Amino acid sequence: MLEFQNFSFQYEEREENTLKDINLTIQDGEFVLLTGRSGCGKTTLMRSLNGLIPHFYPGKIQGDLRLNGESLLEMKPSELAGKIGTVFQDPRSQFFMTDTTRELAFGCENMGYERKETVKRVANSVKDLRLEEYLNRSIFALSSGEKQQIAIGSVYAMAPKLYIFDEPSANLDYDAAKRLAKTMKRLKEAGITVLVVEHRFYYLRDLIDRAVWIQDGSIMQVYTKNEFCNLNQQMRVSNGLRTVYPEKEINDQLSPAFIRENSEPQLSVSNLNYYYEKGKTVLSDLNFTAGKGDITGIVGHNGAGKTTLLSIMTGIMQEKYGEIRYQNKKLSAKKRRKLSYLVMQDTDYQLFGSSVEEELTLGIKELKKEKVSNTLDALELSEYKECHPASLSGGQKQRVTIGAAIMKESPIIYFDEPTSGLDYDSMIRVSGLIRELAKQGAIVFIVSHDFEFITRTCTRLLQLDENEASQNLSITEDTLKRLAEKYFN
Amino acid sequence: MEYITELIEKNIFCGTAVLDPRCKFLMLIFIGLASYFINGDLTGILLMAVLGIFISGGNGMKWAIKMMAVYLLISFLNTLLRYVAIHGLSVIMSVFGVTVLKIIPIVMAGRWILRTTCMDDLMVSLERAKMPQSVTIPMVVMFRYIPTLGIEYRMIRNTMQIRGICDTFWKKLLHPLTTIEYILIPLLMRCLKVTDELAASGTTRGLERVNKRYALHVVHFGMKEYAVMAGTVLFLGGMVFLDQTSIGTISLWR
Amino acid sequence: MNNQKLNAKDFILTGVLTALMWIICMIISMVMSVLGPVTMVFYPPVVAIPNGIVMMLLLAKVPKRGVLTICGVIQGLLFLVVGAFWFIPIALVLGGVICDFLIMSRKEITAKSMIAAYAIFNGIFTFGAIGPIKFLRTAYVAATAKNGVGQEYIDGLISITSVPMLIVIIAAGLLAGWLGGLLGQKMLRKHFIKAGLVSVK
Repeated sequence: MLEFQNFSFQYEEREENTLKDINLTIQDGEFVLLTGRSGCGKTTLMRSLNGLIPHFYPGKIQGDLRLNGESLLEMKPSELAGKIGTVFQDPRSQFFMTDTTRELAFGCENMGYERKETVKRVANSVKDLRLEEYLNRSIFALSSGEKQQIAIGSVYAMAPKLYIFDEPSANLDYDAAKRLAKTMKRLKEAGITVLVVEHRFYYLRDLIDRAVWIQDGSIMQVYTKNEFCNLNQQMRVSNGLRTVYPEKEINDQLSPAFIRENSEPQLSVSNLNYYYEKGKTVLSDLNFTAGKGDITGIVGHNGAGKTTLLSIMTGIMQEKYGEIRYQNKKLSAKKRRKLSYLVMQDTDYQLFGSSVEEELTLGIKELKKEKVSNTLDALELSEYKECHPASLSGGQKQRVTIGAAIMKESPIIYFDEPTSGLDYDSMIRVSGLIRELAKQGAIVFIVSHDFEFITRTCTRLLQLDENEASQNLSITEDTLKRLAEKYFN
Repeated sequence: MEYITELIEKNIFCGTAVLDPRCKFLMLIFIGLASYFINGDLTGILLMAVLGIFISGGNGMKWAIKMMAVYLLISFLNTLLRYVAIHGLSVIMSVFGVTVLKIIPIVMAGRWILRTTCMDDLMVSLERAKMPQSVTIPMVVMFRYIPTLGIEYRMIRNTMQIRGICDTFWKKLLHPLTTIEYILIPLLMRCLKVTDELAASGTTRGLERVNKRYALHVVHFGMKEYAVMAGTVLFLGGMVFLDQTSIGTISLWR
Repeated sequence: MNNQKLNAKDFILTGVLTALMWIICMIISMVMSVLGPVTMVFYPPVVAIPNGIVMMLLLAKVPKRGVLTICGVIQGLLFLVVGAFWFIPIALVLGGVICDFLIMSRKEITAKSMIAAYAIFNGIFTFGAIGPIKFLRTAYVAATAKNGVGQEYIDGLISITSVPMLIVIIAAGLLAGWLGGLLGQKMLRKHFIKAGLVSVK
């Protein structure tokens, strides 16, 4: 049994308590969701449990935190390692070993178990979590979802009784999220207590026992499963929470397509082909068109070629066969680069300047001062003009990169998973910004797994998994319903 | 279940590849020393040949053959350029070629070692050699991070190309410092972030614990290793000695 | 807060940043070797400029005794694996230990002391890097002798590896280390300190 007793915490470098007087009891075997706006304190709560606070994040602790009667406050993470297991958000930066089997054994080896014991534990983990196909492979060759399965397997081999997941679905596609839910179900059936910190929690709707909503460091409300799944929509939206049933909200969120100025599509792609090695075709005979004001959502499971398609369209890679035409002229890779702008999933690769203002002016040949201040206003970032981009929050950083897109005035703008890791309010903001860009005449492509986001932002759909007939469609209630069926069933 | 256990315990390496990492590492140092002191054509090729055979006994045949071919090619070029004087190229090759020739045996052995050593075996054998955590942890992190660096660098360069920052050769030449800044700063930001996440992931899985560590394979510096070490020292010593004698001056290519 | 024990986070950061420094070193040294034997000799000073940025970040994040030793040991081991003469690893380790002893053990580590530490570290590294050239001189001369290339060129080679020249190169190494440190501190202030990721007295 886990108990928070009047628990408060203040980070050393901050002036206010991040967690204020938390009182929460979690029974053995419960599956609890922790959610709330970005910055509400859920990550801090998680860190207090696995010992990272105060070991890595020094600060002032008040109150007590007990696991089965024992106070956790005195324990270092190394002592807590066998009792509490944590799976973090980014699968890419969680592994230490270069091959999967070693990574599964990593935790056990740290604990100092003898060889036979480690082998037994790892074998158990592989059997229970169905990881046989991933044994003895290079970790670098795995997808995000597969890496995360290994991360869970590595924790499982240590057999803790309490698991913490920190936004595990942020980097996963729909299939991987389904698989994650299955794995979590096995954990629950084994009687393990599970705490999940999440923004996008639709995949957990059959698993949660209770949901804790946190705001400004305090627990606002604890819901039972039924209460949470049936939350009043208005209340949910005003508190910045996403919906548990994205497929049910299609009607309200569907946004009208913009009327095209000229009915001629500006951009046309024909017979696009790409393969990395002979025999492994990634894109075959892709055909689609797009015009000014079109916001095309590119969907498909991981490995369908979405990232490859983006790389080719933006001119980073050369196509193997096929044509990309803009305003009826064939485009070479170099020309595509001049016309395109790519907003990547990870903003860290895209911020170069030492102030937001500098960031917006990089690479621009003819600078207009009012354009910079107008853009800053549109992004609601004017007060952060002089701040370093790295000091901003995730959502703000992303708005800066969108600002750079606006400054470059590219006719074609691509977004790669723009909402991964963002809370509801930020998602709405980004959606609004993108629609504004399209309204001003840009051709927009978005790669996304976020159904809610696609519903309210996109006007067209490019489905890489489908055959030619249903590849490139307008977004209507019907198309969305069919998409929902694929994703949620 | 037994099938799974077998898979876990299975060693995909065999023969000489299964030697203790400490043994392999010491061998590498000795090979490096010997390579630097050996100047003769024949002795150099003998060294490569024996090393190649040794590596082939442990999952390394393709690599050994490749390296041997490269070695012979450069040795031939070296001698060629001695007699056929192409003004600038000869001088560059004479220095460059000599250095590269000496490095090839080391690279051959080094890459083979990296490929045939499991990280946890490495960590355990270092710990058994009384290396502190301050060396074992950075080493393991390094091997897992260097491949990632290439990917991260590519992503940053892609963005720079799209945004038109320092994308042309001319721009890079005129503003070297700014180019370095724009490449290094995002890379370093990423380093900090990855470090935080790696540290969190490791610590919550007991990385900082101080207790005896056991790898999935049995790590043991035993008779086999001593024998190999003795053989290596004798062979390399012999080579260096031979090199000093007249055998060292035999030139292979007429 | 100085002279604390190094913890796992410090080890990991040292590993990551040392790997980066080593790769930068390898790339620059390979490029410069191809350009010719003359430029090859000058690679340590050139490497110090970008590596100064990385090193300053490392020292700012881990201002504890031992960080340079670990850095030196790991870079040394890496150089061993790729075939550098054993001079370099020994120089790196020694350099790390000396700088740790002289500078990182002090109670307060300021920007100036970080720059000084890196300058000395790089100077010792330069010595280790080009020292072997002297050893290999006999091999180089033997290789060029039969070439029929002008005597001046051979003289040029010999003079490059002569003692006064070596001293010049080592001095360049020290100077470059100092400049690299300055550049690193400037970058720190402009980016990392401004973003609140690090603090330096």
